[in-house]
Amino acid sequence: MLKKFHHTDDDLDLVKKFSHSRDQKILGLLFERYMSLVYGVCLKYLKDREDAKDAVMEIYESLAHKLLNREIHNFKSWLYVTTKNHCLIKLRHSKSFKEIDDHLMEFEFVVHHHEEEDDMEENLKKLTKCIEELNPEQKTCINKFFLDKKSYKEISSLTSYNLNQVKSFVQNGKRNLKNCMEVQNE
Amino acid sequence: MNKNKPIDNERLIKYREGKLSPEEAYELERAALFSKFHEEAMEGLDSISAEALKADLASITRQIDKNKPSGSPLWKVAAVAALLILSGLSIFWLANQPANNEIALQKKEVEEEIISQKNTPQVESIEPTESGPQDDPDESSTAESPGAESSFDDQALDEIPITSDNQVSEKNLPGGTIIKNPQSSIAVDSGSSVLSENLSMSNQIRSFQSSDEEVIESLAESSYHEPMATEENSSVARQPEATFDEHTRAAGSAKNQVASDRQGGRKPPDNPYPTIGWDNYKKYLEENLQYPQEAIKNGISGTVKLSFVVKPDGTFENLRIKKSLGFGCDEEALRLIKEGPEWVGVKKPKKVKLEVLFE
Repeated sequence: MLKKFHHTDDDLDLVKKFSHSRDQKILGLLFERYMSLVYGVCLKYLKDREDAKDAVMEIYESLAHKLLNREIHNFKSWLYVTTKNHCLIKLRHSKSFKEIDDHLMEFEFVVHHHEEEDDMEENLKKLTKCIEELNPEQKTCINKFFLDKKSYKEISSLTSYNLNQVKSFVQNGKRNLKNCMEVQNE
Repeated sequence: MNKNKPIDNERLIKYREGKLSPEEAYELERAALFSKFHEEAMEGLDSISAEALKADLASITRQIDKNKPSGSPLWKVAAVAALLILSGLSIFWLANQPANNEIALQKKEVEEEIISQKNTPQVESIEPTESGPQDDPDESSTAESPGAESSFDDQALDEIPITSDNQVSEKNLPGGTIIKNPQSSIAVDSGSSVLSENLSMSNQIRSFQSSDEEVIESLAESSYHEPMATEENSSVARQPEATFDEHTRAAGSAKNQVASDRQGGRKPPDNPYPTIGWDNYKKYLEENLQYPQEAIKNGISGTVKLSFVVKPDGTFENLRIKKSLGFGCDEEALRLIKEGPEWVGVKKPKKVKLEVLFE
């Protein structure tokens, strides 16, 4: 049904090949790697299957032009930003400008900065401490997820929480950990 | 982590159907946890059923497989785009009497005001500018006339029927058509593929409003023809007999307008503009912008607003960030301006505001 991805080329190789050959197949291959993510993001913002499908195609069709006109360092991040922008533009067409502007602002600043070159050991210490500070549910789920590498479903069957609870415990737990780490780093 | 790992659609569907092994499921969940892209995608995908997801992905794949973008070979698209970039889309505003519309460039007698919808995805530059037309045929800056009729937004653009005005367009546009209407003054380009591209890009730039800068007067009685080297589509509006008070102020935040005010007169410009012209300046910014690694890593996008004061000798000072984006974007915007083309100075030092878009 769907294309298999046996291509071993990484994204940037494909981008490069595409800009040399302009071969649409390469573009298709590249896009299909992330197609489901693009679709998912479109669904999230547009909240309508048909609109989201249209948006995916629009993004795909604009891809060639955009790729040829700028240098891409990380295709995936770039595609994400492009997708999000595209959806916001579409939303702007249908909703009031202000609302969306606010929306946009919101997520421009939501992204957290992450120090990368931190001292590993220091971090581990802080992390352990931060995990201890989580509430019991989050702590359980975080430990099972990150340390035991259990999937949500497994965690759910190991605990009394349902799948959605597990998911939100992990997500919120992770967010809390991040915040906690940031506070510690200040 | 999982940086470039392709997401196999089948895997995703199986995940939704609960058919993945725990290890595979874990991998996917973990990826979603560490990537905004995955996270938001999963959020969206979770809102529909596994069956719906399966059907939708299949239909998109089919479409992609058969649908070469725009149905035409890419080089054609690229050629058209290049043509548009090079020759620019000429935009007109027909004055009240269409009879006047010789397209000839009688710029000397004409004072005009243009509002154009620019689609440079990365940048928007935005000061009302006046300049001698011969100096700089490509120049454009922003302005919007106060009259509601001559303002437009993306929605309007969307709804505008594309008509072709042979009278005018044949002489100018490589494949472009123009809508003319003395009252609504909106011009839209032609090729639908280009159009959709334009629409999608146009919003990425938010307009920037000029503060209490100079009022630009538009006294034109006659029509004109304005070749503009725009990236794709541009639209122009002109207000024939009005004084443009605060025209930029009327700009809505979701639009971007670039207008150029050209004066037939020989007096020096009242507002500074780049020596290479606004369009080329935009092109410069767009082509030279290096998306900072940090910003990419963190999925940052948005605009950096900055301002500086151009002195009579064309140099500038007081370059500062008005709206910061962080993650290296501010520095990049400053670098672009600092290393960028020179400016045409004016009698008195004058502030210029610019927006650099990180898309």
